[in-house]
Amino acid sequence: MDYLLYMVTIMGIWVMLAISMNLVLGYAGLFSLCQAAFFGVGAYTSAIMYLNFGTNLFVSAILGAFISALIGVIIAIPSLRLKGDYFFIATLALQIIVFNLFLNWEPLTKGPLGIYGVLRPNIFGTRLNTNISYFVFTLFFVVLCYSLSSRVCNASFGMTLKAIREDEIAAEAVGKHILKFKVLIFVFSAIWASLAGTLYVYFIGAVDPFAFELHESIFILSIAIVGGMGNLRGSVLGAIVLIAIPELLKFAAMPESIAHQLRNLIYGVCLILFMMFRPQGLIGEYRID
Amino acid sequence: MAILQLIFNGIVTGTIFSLYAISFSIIYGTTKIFHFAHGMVFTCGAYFTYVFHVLVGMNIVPSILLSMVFTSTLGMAINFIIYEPLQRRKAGPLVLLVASLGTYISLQAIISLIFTSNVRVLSGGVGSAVRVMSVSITEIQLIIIGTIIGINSFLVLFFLKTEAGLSIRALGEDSELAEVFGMSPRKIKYIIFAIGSGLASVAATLNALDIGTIDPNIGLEALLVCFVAIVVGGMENIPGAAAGGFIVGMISHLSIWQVEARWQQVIVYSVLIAVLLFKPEGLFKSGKERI
Repeated sequence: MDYLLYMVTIMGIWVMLAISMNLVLGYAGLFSLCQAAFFGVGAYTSAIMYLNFGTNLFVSAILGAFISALIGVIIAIPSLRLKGDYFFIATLALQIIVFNLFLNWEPLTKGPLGIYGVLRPNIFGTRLNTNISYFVFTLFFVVLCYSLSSRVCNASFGMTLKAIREDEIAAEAVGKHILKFKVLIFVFSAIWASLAGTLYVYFIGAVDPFAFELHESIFILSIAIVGGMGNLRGSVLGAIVLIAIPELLKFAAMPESIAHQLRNLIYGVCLILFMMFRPQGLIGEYRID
Repeated sequence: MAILQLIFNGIVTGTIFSLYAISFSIIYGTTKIFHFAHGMVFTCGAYFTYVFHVLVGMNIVPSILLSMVFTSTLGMAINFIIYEPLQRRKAGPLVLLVASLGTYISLQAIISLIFTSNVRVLSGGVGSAVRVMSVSITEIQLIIIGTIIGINSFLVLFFLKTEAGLSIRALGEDSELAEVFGMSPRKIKYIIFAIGSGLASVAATLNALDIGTIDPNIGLEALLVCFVAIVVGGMENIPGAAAGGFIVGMISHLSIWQVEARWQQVIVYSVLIAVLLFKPEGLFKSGKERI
């Protein structure tokens, strides 16, 4: 039972990450490969603030989100001005830079060993030591993320984004400032990924750089793609499916290294098959193009 | 005089990186497919050489030639299995990119399952080293520079003088027009994937011989070099990409002069971001009239 609660909490955190990817790719049609970097910025900021200054979860969460948003703006503005694959390449470069900072900035991040000893947070005088209490806490943020994102997507802001996605020139012709909309949704998504990172580090109690590699970004992409683009329920479904299936592999007794590669093979083949036969994902509304 | 050594190492790595960039740019510039799976084409190229040279025990030159054949076939197979069916369904660039990422991940998992993730030794034997003005130059480094200069001059002649080369360039400029003139874009695409993948195999192998080892991640590093190179050198511009690759190689070695080696990647990608910020069209104007 405790294991089940652990798994659903993990799923909840990855639902937030998938939503953050879906916002950028599904609603704005922009291909980002650095959601894991923002995830890591949230996690590392919280861990460093907690251990060095003893700040509480909310302060760290806000600080992490602020740093992620700032990085997002710096990357997005120059690369979104340009047509074509520049944005994709820039997000990839950011992903590599951030991972290397986690790995090599030893005075701050403790390098490859990572940071240990983050205790569960105190919320209104109770420490969330049990998995059930932390699950409820996480669920609160997942619901918040889902409802805020769906409000944004269904409001005129989201409609404008969809219009830009479908026909950029037409949207510009009716007077929409395209760059501004794209940068805003990217920053909005970065903030959610960063908050997921804060929740993750307080849940696990430790961070190390290898949790935020390029492969993690591709995994988040797979969840968003399999679930479906342009539909937030798709991201929830995708996270459940893609986290549950590899868990089943654990019951087939095989060495961890082989299981790890089999997992990657499953994600890779999923991406190819979905692109071939169902590019809109399981319950998506938008076929990426 | 460590700086002279760094410059020389930079030249060696720079020539290898320029070949990386050319192999990617030939495919990207003409087919417009953002061929992320090319990363694993690099890796497989080095592993094919490893199989023939180390496991089978053949000499290095025939190993490389066989690896080129196998890697070219792999490139064409990716086009046949992944890109062609998708393009027949009128898939857009994002769909192709996601499928390409999926191919990359799958192939990497397969290579890791067969060979494990451990580092393998692939060396061209301990050649003699000469010292020129306190710079140590190994035999293999001279072979690398010579081979790549040879390949690059051959490519220039191929694209400027031969009919096949001209057709490939024509396809890159305007595929419909090329079709009007009786070329088969389908056939040309296969030729492009074969050439690009074959070159990738040579480049990845030469880099492995210079460093001495291979692992399943070498392709990703090579691919990232390609991305920086095409941004620095200008998209869809093959000589620009080659120059971009050379610059990346120089920068990554010269940076060791001032900072620790582990910061290489951060410096290289910061250069990319800086170019995007200040000179987004690339350092060289995209010379469309030249290949």
